[in-house]
Amino acid sequence: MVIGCPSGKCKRIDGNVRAAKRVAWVQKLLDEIGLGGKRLIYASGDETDAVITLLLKDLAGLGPNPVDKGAAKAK
Amino acid sequence: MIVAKQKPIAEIKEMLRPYPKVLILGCGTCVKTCFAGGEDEAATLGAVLRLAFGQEGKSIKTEELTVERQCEDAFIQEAAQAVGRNQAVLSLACGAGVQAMARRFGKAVILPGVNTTFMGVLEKPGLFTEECSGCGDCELDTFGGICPVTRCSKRLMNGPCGGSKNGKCEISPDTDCAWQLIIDHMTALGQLEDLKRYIPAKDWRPSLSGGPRHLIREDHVI
Amino acid sequence: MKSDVQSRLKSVLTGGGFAVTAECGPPRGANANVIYKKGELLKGCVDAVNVTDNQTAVVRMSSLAACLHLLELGVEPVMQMVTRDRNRIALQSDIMGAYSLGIRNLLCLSGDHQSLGSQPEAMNVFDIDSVNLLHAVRTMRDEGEDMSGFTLNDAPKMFIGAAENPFADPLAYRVVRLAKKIAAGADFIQTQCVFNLPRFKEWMRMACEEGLTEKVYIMAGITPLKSAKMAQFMATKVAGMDMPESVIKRMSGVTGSAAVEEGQKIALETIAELRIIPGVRGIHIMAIEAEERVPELVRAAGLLPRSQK
Repeated sequence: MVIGCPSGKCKRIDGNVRAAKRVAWVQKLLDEIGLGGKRLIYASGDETDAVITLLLKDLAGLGPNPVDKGAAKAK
Repeated sequence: MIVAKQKPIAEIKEMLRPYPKVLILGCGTCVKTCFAGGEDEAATLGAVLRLAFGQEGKSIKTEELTVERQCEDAFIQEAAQAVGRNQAVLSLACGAGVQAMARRFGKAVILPGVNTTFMGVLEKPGLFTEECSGCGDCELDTFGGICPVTRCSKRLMNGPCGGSKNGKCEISPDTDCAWQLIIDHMTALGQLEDLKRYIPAKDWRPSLSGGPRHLIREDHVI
Repeated sequence: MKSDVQSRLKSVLTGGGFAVTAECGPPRGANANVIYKKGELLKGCVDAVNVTDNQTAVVRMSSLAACLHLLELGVEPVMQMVTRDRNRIALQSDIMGAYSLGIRNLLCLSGDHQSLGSQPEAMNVFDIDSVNLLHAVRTMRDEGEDMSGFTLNDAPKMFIGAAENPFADPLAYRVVRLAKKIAAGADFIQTQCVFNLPRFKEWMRMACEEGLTEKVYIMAGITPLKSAKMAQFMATKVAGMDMPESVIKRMSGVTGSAAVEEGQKIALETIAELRIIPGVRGIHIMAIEAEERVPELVRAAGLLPRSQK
């Protein structure tokens, strides 16, 4: 989970906006390789509670890390 | 700059499958600027590939290195040792850089990690547009600084065609009609009269159509 | 003797007559019977028939071959040539070949982009544009030289046409482009089909003002509609088409054969208006895959018989 400053409160003006966009980009990459973009989430500082709840709900449905599963299979 | 886009991970994976030890070589000039193959992208790609192969139970060892430009030998040389200790090189440079690497390291496997597309500019943050196709005989003075060879989908010298609608090209509503741009701009410059003359057929010999080109500067040949 | 063949379209226009042409699309295959059937339908009710060149970038029998099939029937063709698929070498070569076979009319076009057609993976050519092609054909005819200045062994003396779209943007520049095409070599112009009469009249007015109607024969495009669906399709999916709401509304009010009749009515009303616009010297009927409608349309418009000279 990546947490950025609340909207309008970034010391660098739009650092939090850029951070949200970069997280979205990485989510796409994770989806592309089949790992699941839902394993990564961005939260703005003032929404953390709601986002943590959402994250836990999503993670519950995703199962263990496929990379660990794959490594175990290889052994 | 030269604009490129990273190849899909699935395609890169297939290229790298035979090689458990890979050098991901970034380039610090054009592809860095368009976020396809600079140092950051090389690092990200390494991590993504390790994760992607990991899911299959395969491990891949990646080394990441970035040089200033892969189109100049003096910079490519710096990668020599790294090339030597890996089984293949995934070059994130444009097609010219990949070929320079292949030329320089004749015994190494050099693979392209990006799809090189066009010569263009950063029109606004996040938007790169194609501007020049290297025709070898620039006529931008005739067209008010807007290139019909590159930006008109039909390369018209005496445009526009009948498919221009609301300033957009018939091929897509996202594509501007270059001739609308030319007419508007030359009108603004008070030079619309100049467009009324007949522009003859273009001589394509100086372009790629005339064969692969080279440039020799005698004053720099030692 | 093939060289004795004269362009009937040219005779009609230079003789002061109101010309009528139609269009014929070649088949997507090698079946010449398709052309023969269309040719028989159109014979005698038009002065010449345009044969399209891989129109909308869909691969079809070549215009050159289809023109020859029409000639076999005694129908005069207008060979259309786009610059999308052939470079200047091939274009000049085909023009000489076409003339040697008895083809006398040529329409020079850029062509729809291949990304919209049936084989978008193809590379396009666009070595020269339609204005360059007009210039080249005129030079071949009047100077007897090809584009390299080489003196030709028998010059192809084509009657040269171009297309213009009064409904594409930018409106003001459309007349400039018309002037350029005339200066480059166009003897006649066929326009995109007219549904928006006010806009067409405005374009004609500007053309007259520039003295262009003295220098070129303008033929207005006509397409008889057959359904509201067709009107909608043309309004949204055809590049450079101007379909007023009023026309769509008229077509939406009727279905089936009543719709076909309404489409015919609209076409006849348009033709009647076009005939009285100064500078309009003929009509070009584009009945897409509905060539059987042409004879009745020409008859009802009072444009029969056509001169057989």
